[in-house]
Amino acid sequence: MKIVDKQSEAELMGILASIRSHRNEWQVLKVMMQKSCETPKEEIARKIQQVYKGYEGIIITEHEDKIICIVRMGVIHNYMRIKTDLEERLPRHSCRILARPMTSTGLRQIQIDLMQKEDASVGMFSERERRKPNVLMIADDDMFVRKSIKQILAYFGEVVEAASGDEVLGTYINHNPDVLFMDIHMPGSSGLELLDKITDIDPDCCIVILSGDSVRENVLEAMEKGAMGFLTKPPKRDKVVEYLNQCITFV
Amino acid sequence: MSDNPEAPVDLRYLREYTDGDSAALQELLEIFTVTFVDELENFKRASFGENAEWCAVAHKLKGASAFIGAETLRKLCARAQGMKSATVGEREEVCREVIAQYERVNNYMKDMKL
Repeated sequence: MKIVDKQSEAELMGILASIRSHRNEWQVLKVMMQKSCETPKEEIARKIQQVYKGYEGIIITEHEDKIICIVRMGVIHNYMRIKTDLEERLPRHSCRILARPMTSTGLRQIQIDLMQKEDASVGMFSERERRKPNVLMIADDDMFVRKSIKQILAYFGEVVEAASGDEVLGTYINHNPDVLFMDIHMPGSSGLELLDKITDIDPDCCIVILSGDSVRENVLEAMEKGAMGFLTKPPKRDKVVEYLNQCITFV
Repeated sequence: MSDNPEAPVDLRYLREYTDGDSAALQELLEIFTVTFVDELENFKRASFGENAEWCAVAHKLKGASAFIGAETLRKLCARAQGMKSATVGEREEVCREVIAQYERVNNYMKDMKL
């Protein structure tokens, strides 16, 4: 584990290939410094380095009030355990910790950082990172389906809706949602066509496809086009929440 | 699980979504009724129209039925969706079955005061 004060090409390149080939073994830890914390950030970073000594990964300290760790810990089933284990080894009440699996979005972000692209897409991601609270979007031409899913999403943030394929892109650009739950079959553009358009303007988008038909071709096409996941209607509440938690800008 | 295995609806998903809020559940069921009835009108019209439109409306009805756990209704809509080269007569027959099953669902929800 190496501590870096700024993400550099060399460090990211060092872990990129491994993340690409073993993404499920890579975890992301966000260690957010509490205002009351008296321990310097650099010391916290060294303690984290001690905890994960021998693991592959990097500890990034470039942000003022948080430390990001990208660590290859192997496949993890209990993220709460990771969080509490680390909390116990850091000064008491010094930090708030979020532990999550490395997502395809996270991987894409690393790739973007590597390309050092300064286009609109990076801007959208950064804006989501800074913005609080969450903005969540549901696109489905059936009002009943939208309102049903909205019941779940409304608990976690502001919910915006699109009622047809033609409304999706404009609503997405205007609201820049953290996560978009999108139907495939809609009047106007289909969900699969829209996936291309949205990933073009926002490569870090988190899109979960909702469909009544889990046709293998649709699932594969959606994943290939960059969807974070695929849910069959009606989705279980837990599954929806699971996808929300996989989105890196979701708070 | 539904309390009554013979019930034409199973609201487990909507109950999970609304997390015990009976007013929210009620509101969702009202939206279901309004939108489903509208779509049934489109479905009837589509019996005489293009196959693609017929299949698209059947798909939408199927999705909505699944959300309220109306399994028999969902299966009928799935069957309709699969009838890509059916005659008008065949479509009309399925359309009648879908409407009859929807009425069962609607009556059940009224009886149960859902």
